[in-house]
Amino acid sequence: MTDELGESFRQSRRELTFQLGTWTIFAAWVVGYGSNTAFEAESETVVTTLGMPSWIVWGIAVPWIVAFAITVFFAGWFMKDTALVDDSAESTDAAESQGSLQQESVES
Amino acid sequence: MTGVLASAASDSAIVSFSVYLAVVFLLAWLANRAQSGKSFVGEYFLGSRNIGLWGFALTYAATAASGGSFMGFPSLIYTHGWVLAWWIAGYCMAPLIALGLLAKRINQVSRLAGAITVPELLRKRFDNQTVGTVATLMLVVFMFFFLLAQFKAGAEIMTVLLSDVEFVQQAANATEARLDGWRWIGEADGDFVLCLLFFAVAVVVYTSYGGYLAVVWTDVMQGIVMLIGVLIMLGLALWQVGGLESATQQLARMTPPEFGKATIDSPVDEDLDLRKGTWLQTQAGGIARLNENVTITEGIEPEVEVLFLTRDDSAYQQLEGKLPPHITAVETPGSREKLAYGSDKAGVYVSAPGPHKDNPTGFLPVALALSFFVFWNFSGAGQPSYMVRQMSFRDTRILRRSMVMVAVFFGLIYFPLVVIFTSARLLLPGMEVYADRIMPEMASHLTTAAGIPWLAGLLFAAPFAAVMSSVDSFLLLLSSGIVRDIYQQRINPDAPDSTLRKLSYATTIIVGLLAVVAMLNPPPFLQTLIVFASAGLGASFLAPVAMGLFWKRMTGEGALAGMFSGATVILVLYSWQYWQTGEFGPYNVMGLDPFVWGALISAFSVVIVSLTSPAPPAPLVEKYFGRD
Repeated sequence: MTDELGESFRQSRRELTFQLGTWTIFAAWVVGYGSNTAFEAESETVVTTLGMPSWIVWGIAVPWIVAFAITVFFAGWFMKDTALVDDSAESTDAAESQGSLQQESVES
Repeated sequence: MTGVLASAASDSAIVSFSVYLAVVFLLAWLANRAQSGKSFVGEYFLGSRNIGLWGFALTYAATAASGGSFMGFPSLIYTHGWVLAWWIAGYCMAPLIALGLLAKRINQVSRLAGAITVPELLRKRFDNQTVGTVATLMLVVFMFFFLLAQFKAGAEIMTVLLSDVEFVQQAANATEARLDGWRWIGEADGDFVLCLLFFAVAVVVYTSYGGYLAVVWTDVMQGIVMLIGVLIMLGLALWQVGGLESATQQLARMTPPEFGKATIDSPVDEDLDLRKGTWLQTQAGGIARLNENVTITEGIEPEVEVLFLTRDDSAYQQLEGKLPPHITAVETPGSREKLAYGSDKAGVYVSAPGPHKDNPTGFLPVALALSFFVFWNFSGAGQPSYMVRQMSFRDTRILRRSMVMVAVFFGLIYFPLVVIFTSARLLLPGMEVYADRIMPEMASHLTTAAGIPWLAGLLFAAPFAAVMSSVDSFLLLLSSGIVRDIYQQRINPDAPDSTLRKLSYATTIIVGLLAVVAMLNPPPFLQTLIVFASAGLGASFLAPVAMGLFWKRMTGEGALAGMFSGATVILVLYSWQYWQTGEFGPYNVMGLDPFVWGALISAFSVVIVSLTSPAPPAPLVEKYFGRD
């Protein structure tokens, strides 16, 4: 049980690394692109792509679509299923819960 | 209510909206029946940890898409323009981070601990009663602020929906007369008070009666309503503005309207009541909108606050021939309040940083854009209301599929909202006087102009669903904090189910009543309140929970330090801003939102205090992390 739990924890840590790394790349893309292009337009005409200001399309809409693809990859292939502990034996009833807490305290 | 452009919802809209409410109550009743015969607390507060794909994905997404998303966010888009797409862009990562970062470990650890609330999870993870108590107190305080904003949003939607119903208006006038002169609530509009009461009763009844299962089931229905509502609005808005390209180019030509003072010149002999929102011709040939109610009596030309439209081409076309005859507004020289950024600037609605009343660097400078990219993801991951949902899914397959489903949901909600409400500036000019009502007004306008007023009921239901699905979750979270974490754990561990049930009902009702009283004199900007509460919860809980799930060496003392320091930073920075400006809002040190500082200092405190306190006992670590 604890070996399985240890492996599951290590897998969760790998997933965490992937998630934080991906977030960092997207933060750089979205904030970086916007800071370079979104402040230019101060006139009565605006450069558009698909009817939207172009900086919105390349700095927000496209990253959003790519982020969706990465989410699908992460959820479909990278993230591993883990057998979650069945807590049905553990009561959520207060009395038992409090009892087990007191027992833990005694043991420690 | 708001003038010549937006007509109120028709009777048929009210009927379809009533059908929606009836379904909500039916689901609550069914949920209550489904829970009978099961252990009360586990079922009532967590649905016995047996929530499937649709339930988990949509309860998460619907709770995230709160009154802020459907009332405050549209108001900000309307006021500041396309830059709001940049502001919300962090949501592209939300399924991966806000939902996926902690979900698997939270579910796993909460099962190992037998915990059904976030404070209980922390208490058991660190085997420390004080951690649980402090977590409960922080949750209750910040969550109450969150709840306040949702109550206001719910009441605003009802107000617009019922604005043309005669008996409601009569009741509203009577209420207003009765409240006149009272401290605190005397300023409240009668219709707002009535709608607030109706909303509070509706949501408190179905939440307290149906518990977590009712919240999940109604969230599924509400999530679907939101999605359909937004997509219909998107189609109607694009059609009515003549396509996205046309809307963007028109928006590029517009400059922000400005508040100022004017005297009302009217040749009428009798008294004349003009309601807030009335459009007026100005003496200089422009257009202005009243920002307060005014009574004109013979011989007196009152000075009133108005909103002056500037170069609002579409507004001029729409208003031509619809302004009250013989009444003109004479601008008081020097009274116009220029914006700190954006006045007279064409292109300000289609570029960054967006116009801003007080901030000379505009609405969204780069540092703040980065702050919000951090905020939406990590504050989201740190919200106890989401953590509770992450404890409730049945298995990790459901989590993986839900991430994809939530990604689709967010993509189809948030980006279209930006398109819809940048278009709203063209269709409904001058809504700055009713900034928080732009969503229901737009729903009413779009459907009326399309000749399908009955559809307004569904579109009204979308933001209402967003508000309800958040309020029910927060009410339940508050109720669980008080009943489970305080009463059951510390006062009466042997309390029978019947007592816990009564106490849960009573807690939900009392919290609802307190929220109503507080909201009788609501603050003007909904979104500020929501961002404050989110920042407080995120900064207090993110580091202690996330590090507690992934760092074996972390101690209870470290968790306490993290919660205290995170909450303190948020309170200090918001108080400092209030002290400096007299307005409730965030004080951005180095341009970064208080949440970023709060979360960083909280994480730093966790590390320092954990490393300087005794290491946790090995059995406790092995229980939650397994063997190396």
